[in-house]
Amino acid sequence: MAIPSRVLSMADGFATVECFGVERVVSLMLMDEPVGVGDYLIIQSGSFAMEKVEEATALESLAYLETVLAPQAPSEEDAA
Amino acid sequence: MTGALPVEGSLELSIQVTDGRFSRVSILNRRPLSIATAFTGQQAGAAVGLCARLFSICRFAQGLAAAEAVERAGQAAVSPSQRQARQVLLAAEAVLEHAGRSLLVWPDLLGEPVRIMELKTLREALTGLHLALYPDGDWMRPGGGRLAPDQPQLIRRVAAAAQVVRNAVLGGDLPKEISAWADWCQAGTTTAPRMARRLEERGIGAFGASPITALPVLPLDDLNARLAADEGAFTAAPDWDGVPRITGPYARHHDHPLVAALGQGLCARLAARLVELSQALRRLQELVHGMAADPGQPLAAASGSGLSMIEAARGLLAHRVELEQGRVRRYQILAPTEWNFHPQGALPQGLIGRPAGDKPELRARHLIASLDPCVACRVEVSHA
Repeated sequence: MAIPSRVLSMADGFATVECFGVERVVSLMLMDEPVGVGDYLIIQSGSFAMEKVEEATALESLAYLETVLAPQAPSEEDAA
Repeated sequence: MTGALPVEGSLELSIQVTDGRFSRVSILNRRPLSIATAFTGQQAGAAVGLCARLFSICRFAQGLAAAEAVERAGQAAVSPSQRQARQVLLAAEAVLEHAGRSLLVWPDLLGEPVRIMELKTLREALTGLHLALYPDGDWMRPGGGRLAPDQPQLIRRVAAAAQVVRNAVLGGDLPKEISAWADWCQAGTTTAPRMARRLEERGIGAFGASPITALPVLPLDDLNARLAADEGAFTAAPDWDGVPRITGPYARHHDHPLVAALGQGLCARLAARLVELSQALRRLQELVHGMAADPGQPLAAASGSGLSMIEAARGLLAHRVELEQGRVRRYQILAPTEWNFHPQGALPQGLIGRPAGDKPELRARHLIASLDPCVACRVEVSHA
């Protein structure tokens, strides 16, 4: 999923980003354009920022996602 | 398992080891499978654009699967030039995903740093490839976007990607037969032969084999009927003929001479991925020659249903849409990760009862990487 996360702070090649109230630290090492606080990033593999998206596009995507990513019960099954 | 869960979704795997063997596997799928409901009520073209925007991994496959589902619903077909351009995008994405994983995920399994420079070069070459075909960025438009190939740029981008694959991943031509495999593994210094060598050194080259069989080529009508009747259970944990299946490179290439000779475990799956990478790169190099321009043809608002099936990098990707006067009434996506991480599928069947070794989490992570989830994967191993 390409869910834009907003940059809250940056240090030493890493950024703290936030999305839907969830904060996490991601690596900026694969970014090939400058990143600043307030930018929106697409995160892949859980911890790598891969691309920057325009704020208007990001906010539009987040508005859509907010309607479908409301807490949903995940499925869990065991195999033994 | 600690830390914030990725909002993009994740797989949470709880694995139990008893008396030195894997004894239980629990798969918690946190992928946002309801995402397709965002398309309901949208104009078909807008839904396709949204689809391409909301998926960052396998974006071309997702966007084109959406476009083709809409085209089938409207009983429309695109020109041969558009079909060729779409094949270019899908081949480029296969190269990006397979080579990219070898530079991003495999180093972690090898205990080495990520291959940043090579990965950035690969991404720079291939993620913007669509703009060398569709300068307006409308590659996913149903009926075809404005196709105006920039052949020199295409050839330059593909050559740059090929150089990364050769110098950082394959290190030369992949052996076609098992007789040359051992020498290739021993001599190679790039990620692929070193990964194969490491699997053998760790004694897990044959690890992970399971009775789960490959997903066959699915008859369109049969899959359409399953999806039409589905209320969510099938797309969340799909089966075929009543049993879980695997999809992806190993399912597609298990009968290749090299892959078949290596068996069904980790080495065979690695070889299958490399066979696919080699073939996709060759196809890409061939396809970018002789591209022709095409204006595309906007579709009229249609009513009906359409199903598309695309062999994406990780496996079969199916999109199904029901349209009513050009608006989406229902949208469904059946993705490879749900096949390959079925709760009773290839992961639990490949682990349970097998020796856990002295590093069970690493052993499990090798098998997970061979099944290649499209989201982050968290693993917790407990000992009973």
